[in-house]
Amino acid sequence: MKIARNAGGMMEELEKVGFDRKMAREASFLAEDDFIKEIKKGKNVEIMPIEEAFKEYDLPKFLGKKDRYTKLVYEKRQTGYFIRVPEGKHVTMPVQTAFLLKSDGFDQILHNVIVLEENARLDMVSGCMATAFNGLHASITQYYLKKGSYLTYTMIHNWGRNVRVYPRSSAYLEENATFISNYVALTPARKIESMPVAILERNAIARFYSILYARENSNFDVGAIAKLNGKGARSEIISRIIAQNAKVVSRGLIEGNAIQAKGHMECSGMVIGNGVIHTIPELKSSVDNVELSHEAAIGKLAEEQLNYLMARGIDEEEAKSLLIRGFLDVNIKGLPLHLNKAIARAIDLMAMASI
Amino acid sequence: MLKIKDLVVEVDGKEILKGVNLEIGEGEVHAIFGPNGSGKSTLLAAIIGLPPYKIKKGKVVFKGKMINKLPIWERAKLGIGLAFQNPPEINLKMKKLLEKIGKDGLQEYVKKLKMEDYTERDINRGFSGGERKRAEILQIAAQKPDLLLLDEPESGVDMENIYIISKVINELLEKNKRIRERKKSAIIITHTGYILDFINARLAHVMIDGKIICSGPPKEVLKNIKENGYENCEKCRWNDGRA
Repeated sequence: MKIARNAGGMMEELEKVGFDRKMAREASFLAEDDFIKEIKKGKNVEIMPIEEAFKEYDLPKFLGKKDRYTKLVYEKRQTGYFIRVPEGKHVTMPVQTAFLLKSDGFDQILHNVIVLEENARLDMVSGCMATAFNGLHASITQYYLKKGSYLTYTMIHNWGRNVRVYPRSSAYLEENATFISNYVALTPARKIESMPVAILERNAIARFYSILYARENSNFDVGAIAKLNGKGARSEIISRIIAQNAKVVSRGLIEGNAIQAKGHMECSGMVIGNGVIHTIPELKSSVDNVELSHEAAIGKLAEEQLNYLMARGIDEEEAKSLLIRGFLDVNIKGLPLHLNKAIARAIDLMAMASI
Repeated sequence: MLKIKDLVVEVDGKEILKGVNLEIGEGEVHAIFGPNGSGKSTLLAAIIGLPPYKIKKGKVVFKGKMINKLPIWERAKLGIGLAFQNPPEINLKMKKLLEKIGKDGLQEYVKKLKMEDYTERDINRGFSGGERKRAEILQIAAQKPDLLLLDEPESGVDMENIYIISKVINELLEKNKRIRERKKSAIIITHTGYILDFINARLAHVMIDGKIICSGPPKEVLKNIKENGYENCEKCRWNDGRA
């Protein structure tokens, strides 16, 4: 995908990943490479550079697995944001954040922390994109959801063919907290490796949706881990994946560690051309009285469906693109309508643009 | 409108149509009867170009143009619209497809076919038999074809739905106009002939084992089949020897 480098073009590119100044929004944060370009404060949320937050707060610990990229973040962190929603506050407009990798060969190293106090509610749209020809994006993002809080986090990525991406994230959900995490990646990247982990206490809910379209020798290794540690905790990990001359490993692990925990994993894949999809769903139950399940189906573009659309006077290329569009179209439960629309728009702009 | 000459069609090396001749004029509606597996659906598939059917011999001429080798969508664009007997379920909102087919005045048909609650749903997913047929007719209405190919539009459909779809089919066939002014034609495949109580066909053909063996007035032909079975069709007085 060619990306215009002028300022007007850049805003349009940022809009594709959900960073849209025309939309009503509570607060925003935009970083280019290692530089904070915009930070717009909100009335109902606290937002600040991560450096300040480290001074001001005793930030929670990262709960995921430590590896060379988490180490890199701890040693060489450049920037990032801290967002906190006060107790009981329901933020109606979304907070938009975006990270832009701009300089060729740059290593972007970030740390973000989001804290929702008890019974707070927030919708976030987080876009990441590159105009750089090559580069690295490594990050830690931590979510801390206190009792009864509700966070939707929609991440839309638009990288480049030679960009390597290693986000590491962990979420801690106290009693009755809800976390809806949506990941949308529709354009090529050399490598994306992402496996957020969520730890759930009593009656907490975590849902992970991934909508992935891997093309042009991309290599995606993505999934989610949910540890159901509290009684009645629930999780869903749902993915729609297209691999077109690209490789996708789709992982998932749900651990039922407390009674009445419930988990479900679902992966639908479509392989086009020389694509590879490898699904690795894992369920682990350490107590009785938990309900865990998974289903996976991988297919190709169905000829019967293609013919059906062509019989309506739609040519082959367009019929294919309609089927791909339809396959990626997932209505995400619990996500505000405008964010479902933003995802649909991202699919129209990025997945459909190059077909 | 449509001329089929000595059409031989194969599927996986097996001959399904064994020399079919058929001519449909402008404004004409023809019915095709025949037992299961006689080649009725294959005939429609060959007209629109659906694989895996392969034309071995013969010609399909539509509006004076030989269309044997045209891809499916070009045939559709020329004005052929097929209502599938068993349409597939597709992960695609009906609305998106209708927008792509994109002819005006569709809202009126959505209403007439009682499809208001279905356009936001995935095509055919969880649709009942009657809903599927209505969805097919809605898509045909969006296409506004000159030649309608209707593959058992009434099978698995209750009275109310038959009434609804027949009404719209009649509109698409310009039944409100005088016979001479009608330009739209149709081929209707029917097992029961039931749909012919609602849609007037000019001629009926009986297809057996890949051949049309008899053609005549629909009601008479149907009566004959009901009384004597398909095996006696060859002897029927309407058999004009065209096969």
